[in-house]
Amino acid sequence: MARKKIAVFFGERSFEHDISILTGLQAIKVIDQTKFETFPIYVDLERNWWTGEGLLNQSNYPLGKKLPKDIRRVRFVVGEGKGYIETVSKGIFRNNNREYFDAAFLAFHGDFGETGAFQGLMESSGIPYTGCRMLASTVFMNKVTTKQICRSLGIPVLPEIILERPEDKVFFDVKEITKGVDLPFPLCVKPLHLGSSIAVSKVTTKEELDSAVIKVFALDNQAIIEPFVENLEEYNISVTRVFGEIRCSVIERPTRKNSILAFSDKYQSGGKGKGIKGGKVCSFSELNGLLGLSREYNPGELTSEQREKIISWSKALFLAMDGRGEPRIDFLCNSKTGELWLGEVNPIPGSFGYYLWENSDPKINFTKLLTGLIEEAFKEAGKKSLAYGTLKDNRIFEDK
Amino acid sequence: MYTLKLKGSSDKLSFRLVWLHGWGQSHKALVPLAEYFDDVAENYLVDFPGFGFSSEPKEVLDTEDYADILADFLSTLPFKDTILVSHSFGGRVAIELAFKYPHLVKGMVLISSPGLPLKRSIFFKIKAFFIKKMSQVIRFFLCLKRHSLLGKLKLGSIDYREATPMMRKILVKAVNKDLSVRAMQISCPVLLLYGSKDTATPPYIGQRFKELIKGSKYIEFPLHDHYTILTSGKSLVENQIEEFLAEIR
Repeated sequence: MARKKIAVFFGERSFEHDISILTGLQAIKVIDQTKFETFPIYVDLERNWWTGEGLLNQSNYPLGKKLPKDIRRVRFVVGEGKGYIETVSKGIFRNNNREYFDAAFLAFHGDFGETGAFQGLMESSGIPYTGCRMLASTVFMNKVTTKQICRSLGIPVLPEIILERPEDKVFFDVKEITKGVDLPFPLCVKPLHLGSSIAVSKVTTKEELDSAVIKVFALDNQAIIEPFVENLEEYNISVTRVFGEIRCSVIERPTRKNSILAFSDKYQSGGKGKGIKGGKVCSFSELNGLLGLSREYNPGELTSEQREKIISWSKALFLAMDGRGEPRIDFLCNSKTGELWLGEVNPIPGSFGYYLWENSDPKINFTKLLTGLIEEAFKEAGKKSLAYGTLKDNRIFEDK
Repeated sequence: MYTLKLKGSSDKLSFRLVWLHGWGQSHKALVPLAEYFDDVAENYLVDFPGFGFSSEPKEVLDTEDYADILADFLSTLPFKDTILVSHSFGGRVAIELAFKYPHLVKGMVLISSPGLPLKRSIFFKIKAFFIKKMSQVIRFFLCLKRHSLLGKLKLGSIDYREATPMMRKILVKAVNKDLSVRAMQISCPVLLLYGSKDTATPPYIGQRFKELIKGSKYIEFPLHDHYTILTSGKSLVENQIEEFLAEIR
């Protein structure tokens, strides 16, 4: 049987662009090559699309002006039936090779590949894609909408205040914006739409609050302010139904150096402490995104009641949003009082959170997880094509 | 020889996996893979003499001697269906063991296993000839031993340069041994796993093994090399071994 052709997408115009490159390269090397034929499509920060084997080499990032021969620019063509890519070439002897693929494997983090936008592009191009559908992606990437859904399901979440960046002013008075914040200190300030703990701060004074809000407004047009949970512990879990019935992974407690889990804890603390500095590129074993973070699986301090809550709330939210893929759901806990709140949802977690599934019972390894995601993508597309099978019955204009 | 039985393995499990590491490595390189099979098999890992926690042999051993040592160890265990899972150099020992002690081996997984002559380009052969001749001349004048000269000039493979004098001799002996005749005599089921980007044991070695070993199965991973096949390719390997175990049991 011919192998299905899978385009692995990563990059995008996102603050989590580089993390997405790591996730994409990790995935492409793990997807079962006996079942699927894979090739990379990299979306750079300027929204140019690239393909070619050279993209698999980490040392080629960021792409410079002098490109390796095995990397070429492509464009995505819509409006001619099913979407496809073609090589961008100029001149008399141009050769715009057209290339179709059977499914898109999305390894994006943040804008615009995790937010529902890219999912929409795939939907309207008729291309099966992995992970959460468009609506769930959009909702999960907006922390406030996620909270509103949680409240409607009876899942506890922290109260929040949303601050908007003035759209019409280059210079603005931050004090004016934060004057209505009436929650008691300490507080936690986050961007509304970004993941990976980017620009998340704990603030204890009005001055710190102002500077944290300015930091957020440099990256996002909305800031979310919540009470800071004392004696904070974080617990993460993943949910999926790619293997049939809805299933939850093992629960993990990530360890952190500071009072909150920061971007540096997640992505700059890994392996041998080299990171990507001054253009120095590390191997996967040295820097592999979230894998650098130390963690405890099935942490002993959680009571069976707390475990049950985390599992049942995660399943309820996943089902309410008609979840697909395997989003990671993060919970906050006051370790002294035992109170739990749902924090946020990552539709495409770093490294696909495969370590959670590898340590679950029954264990699911990385390759099996990615095979499940691809098979689910085809299944979802199949459902859509069934739904559109009767299109002709509803025509007003008759075929000539 | 240092051996390790994985903690989670139960004696009640009906078959045994014995993990054989590559050159310059130890049992540790295969622990992550072995752990995946902890629920289904009894897992033993070894450090071959001269590697990891095992002391260096006092004489130059052949891969057949390594197989004898391994066979002695396996004979001390209660009889159970035993499947050898080897990487690189461990594959040479596995082939020797399956050839000489077929009753001890129910099946074999050879990951990036050498054992057949490498195709060398004319350029490589000329280069090797000149290096050999030049080093003989320099050694004569400087009264140096072969290994110290090659070490100083940074010549020879990394495996060779990083080995002790005794282990270098063992390596040379192993590398020069053609196992094709032995491979032809192997009767147990064999799974061959190779990476397309492997330059140490290129995929054509695996394809040739497939022709030599009757009924063997060959799988090639397009994006992996000699080492990433065990790291980022780990779950690909796990799935193939899992399928293989299901087929032969």
